Amino acid sequence: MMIVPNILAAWFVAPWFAVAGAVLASIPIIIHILNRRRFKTVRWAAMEYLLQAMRKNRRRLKFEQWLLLAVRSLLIFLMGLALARPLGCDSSTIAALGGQRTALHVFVIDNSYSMAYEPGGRPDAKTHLDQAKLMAKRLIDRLSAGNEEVMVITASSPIDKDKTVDPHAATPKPTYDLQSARAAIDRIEQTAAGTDLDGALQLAIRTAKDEAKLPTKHLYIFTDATRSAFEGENGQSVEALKTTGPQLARNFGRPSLFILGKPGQWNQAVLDLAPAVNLVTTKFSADFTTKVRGFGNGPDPVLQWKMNDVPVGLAKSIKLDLETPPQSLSGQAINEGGPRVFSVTLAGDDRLRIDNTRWRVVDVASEMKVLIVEGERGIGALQGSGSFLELALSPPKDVDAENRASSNAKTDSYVLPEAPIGELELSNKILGNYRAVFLTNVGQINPSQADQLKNYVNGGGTLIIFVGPNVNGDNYNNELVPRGLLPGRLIKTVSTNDSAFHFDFNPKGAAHPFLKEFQGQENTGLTTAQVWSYWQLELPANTNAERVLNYQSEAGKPKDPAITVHPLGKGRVVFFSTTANPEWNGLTPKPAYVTLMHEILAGSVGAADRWMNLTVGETLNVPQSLGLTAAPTLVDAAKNPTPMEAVTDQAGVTTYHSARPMTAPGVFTLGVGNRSFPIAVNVPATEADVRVLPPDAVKKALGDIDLAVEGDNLTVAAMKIDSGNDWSWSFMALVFLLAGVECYLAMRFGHYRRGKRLAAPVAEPVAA
Amino acid sequence: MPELPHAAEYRKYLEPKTLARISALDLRARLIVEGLMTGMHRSPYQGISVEFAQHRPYVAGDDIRHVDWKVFGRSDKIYLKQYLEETNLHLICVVDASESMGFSSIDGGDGTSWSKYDHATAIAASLSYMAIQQQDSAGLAVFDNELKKYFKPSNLPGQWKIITHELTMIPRLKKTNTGKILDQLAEKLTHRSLIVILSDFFDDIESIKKGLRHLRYKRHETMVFQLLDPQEIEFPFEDVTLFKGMEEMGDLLTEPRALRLGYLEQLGLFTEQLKKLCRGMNIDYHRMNTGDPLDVTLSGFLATRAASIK
Repeated sequence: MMIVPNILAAWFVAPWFAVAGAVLASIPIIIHILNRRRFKTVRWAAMEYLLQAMRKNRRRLKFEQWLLLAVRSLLIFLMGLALARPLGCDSSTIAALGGQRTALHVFVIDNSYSMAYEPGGRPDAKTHLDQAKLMAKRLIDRLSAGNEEVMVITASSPIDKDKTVDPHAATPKPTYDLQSARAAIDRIEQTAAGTDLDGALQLAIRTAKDEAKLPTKHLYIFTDATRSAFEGENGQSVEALKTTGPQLARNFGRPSLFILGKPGQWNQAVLDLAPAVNLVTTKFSADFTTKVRGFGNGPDPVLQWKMNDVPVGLAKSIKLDLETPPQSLSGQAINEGGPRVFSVTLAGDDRLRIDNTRWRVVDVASEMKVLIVEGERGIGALQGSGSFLELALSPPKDVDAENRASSNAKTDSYVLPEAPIGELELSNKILGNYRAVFLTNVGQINPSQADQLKNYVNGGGTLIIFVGPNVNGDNYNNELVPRGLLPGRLIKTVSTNDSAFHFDFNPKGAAHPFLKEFQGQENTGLTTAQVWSYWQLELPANTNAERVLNYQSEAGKPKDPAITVHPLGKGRVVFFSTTANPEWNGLTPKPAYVTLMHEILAGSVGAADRWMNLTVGETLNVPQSLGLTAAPTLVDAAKNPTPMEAVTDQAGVTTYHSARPMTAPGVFTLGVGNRSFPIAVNVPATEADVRVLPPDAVKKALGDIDLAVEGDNLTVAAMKIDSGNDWSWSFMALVFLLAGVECYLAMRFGHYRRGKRLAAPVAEPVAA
Repeated sequence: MPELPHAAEYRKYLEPKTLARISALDLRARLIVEGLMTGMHRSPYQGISVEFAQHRPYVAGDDIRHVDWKVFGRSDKIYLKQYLEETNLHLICVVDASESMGFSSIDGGDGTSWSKYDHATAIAASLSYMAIQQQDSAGLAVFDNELKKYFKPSNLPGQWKIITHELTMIPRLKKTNTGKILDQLAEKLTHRSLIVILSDFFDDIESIKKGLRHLRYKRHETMVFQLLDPQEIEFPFEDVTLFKGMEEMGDLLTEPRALRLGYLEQLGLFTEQLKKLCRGMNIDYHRMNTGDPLDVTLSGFLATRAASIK
């Protein structure tokens, strides 16, 4: 039963009108039959002449009746057909005579930053995007206004997250107004964002489904067909396109793909810039690395490092290709703390310059405040459970380690531990003021302290836990494990009186990044340090904790973790299974202990500059820790302001963020009272590969669907608009014609109502 | 006997719709005649006489209506025209009383209607009234498929009442056989008469022709009044109609609009045939629309008679 409607739907825009017309065409016949049954009776004297008239005109009368009936039925049927808007006739010549085009045309225009490529040789269009807009408007010029719908969609990664409108939609919905469609294309801006082709194509598919009534749907994709668009770094985007491709084919038949990218186009880009260490301090010189690439064959550019816009080192020519090794800026000494803007620029004849510079804001630590919580307080020097740790983190100059309390000498260390506190004082501290919190042999943690610690770590803080004999395993398992503050349950303390336990470390082998300072170093003491007791930790099978260091074990037996690190929220937790002082191990008196503590601290402390480094499309969120008392300001390099918004939560805490996601790369300045912070915004690194994929590769990326692939110029074939031909107006013209014929026939045959009586001519009397 | 209406109101009483409401035929006839007299300002009765005979000199007291003014113009002498049988006219009204004559489309209101037969009887009664007024003889023949009634012409005082009475008594149920009746009539009449035939003539034309020829052979002066109803003349039907034929002509269910032109053509052909037939025999032919006022048709007829006598 559904076959009939499906067949009709293939031939008509509104097929049920055709059915109605066919049914209602019987109305004249029904009326005729009913009329024959409803008549008036007249006793008639001049019957002879009536019968003679009937005899003489019988055949003609029958013919006239049938003809009128046929015309009237046909008229109603054709009216139904006209309203059903019949389609058909592939011959464009015939269609040009009587058909009106009707179709949905969806234009997907890639406006990601790679479309800013300037290939040259196009007098009317500088960039790929300009050419795409030009071609799209030329195609729209060929459409039939009022009959064909147009939808314009952009394919860059959405930036504005207005939930009421799909961010890809350049026109809110398909429109018959071709002028507004052209205007929407004109309004498409070049973005600095990456490509979200799948998102755009999904919107195209939804549009096609919403406009199911239109029999013909066309999809035009304008893209530079770069590897970055179709072969993204993450497998997710590739798989998504393979699924989307067949949906496109189902809804649009044979989509048209216009490849704007030119064969042989090339690009040079800075893909990454970062310090080599997790924490840059004024204490040590820092190394920086950058990842630069050359896609395609281009001349060698010149690479220049800068700090705060001041060139650092000499600019050097560099050969770029796909395998260019990371470039380094080594031994950069920074004397003052605070945020610094590092940048790397590639200067050359690049046709796509937006990714030639990358910025990185590095918050150089001149001092780092840490908090040490002692579970066991000591009266004398180095008596507390955290004393050795405090000394290791911030060894004073020429200090008498036994007389710490009387020493006021300054330290060379950037780490500034406050005087250790007892566990009972922990609740009184604002942990957000510290970059790291150390728990040393703290016996028990009450629930509120556990919550306090969890919030601190979630907010980006670093928690380093040293256990010891005071530790209540059950308490830790009940309070810390459920909050993710321990990577696993504490099982039992393991002790030995005979041979001590040792760390399982091979200076010549692979090591955790925290231990890279010990790699290749013999006699660091890490291998020989003795451990007499430790808490055995049970790591679950699916743990996200990393083993920094294990204990040696007998062959075949699992190794107990000595040091672990795992992320929690924005922060990290480091777990030491032994004491921070020599109570359970012989490590702490060794110099390796100092290095180990500093490396672990530096490696685990979260960079405080993460919020100052954004990618285009991200929103700037000002951290609460800045302690803002007034609304901040944000301006770009040209001092143009970017609006900021305030959000107050239920607790009455107000935070600030940029009113819109950042749309352009560069260095912005956030003004906070009398302080200012640089904010670096970079283009995504995934869009830089502008090498054009061959058409077959594009088809394959889209699930091997049938595509009409065109270049960056509209060919005759591409200009041929193959729309469903709507014959409704031709049928309507036939209806009007038939209506006229019916009126004429009715008058001609006398089948009409007269307006007034007609008097037959009176015969003149004949005189005898 | 009801009072005759005022002279100024006569005109309206000549409308068939009005006459339809006057049930008494004698009154209808008198209204018609008086109406004619009022409209014409002189008696319409002159000129019913037949042939001119001779002149005689005018003497004082003669009716100056018969003065031959042409002769006066030529000779300056006044002469009067004299007619044959001036006061000895035999008028016979032959009235068709077949079923078809009962057709009526004119509604007089109050349940009354005006059929062709009513029209025929009104004319017959009026002519008889005028003839008797002039001391001529008036007779009556009523027929359908046979001669139902025959009253030979007479100018006795009660003749007109007999005529009007008989005309109101005849039912109309039978078919027509005009030709045969005219034949019978021709044999019955012993004196030359003025025969006025009042019928719709819905009959075989050859038979009618034979009857008229017989009358002509017998040297009777014949006048033919074909009476047709307005609907028969115009055929105004539009919706699907079942026509039930009178005089056993059968039924026909049809769309009248489609047949109208054909019917009018056929009726016209027949009327033309009848007209030609009468012309060929020197018979006066008049087609009358029963919807028209009687004074129009009768005065036209009388004027024609007067012109022919001159």
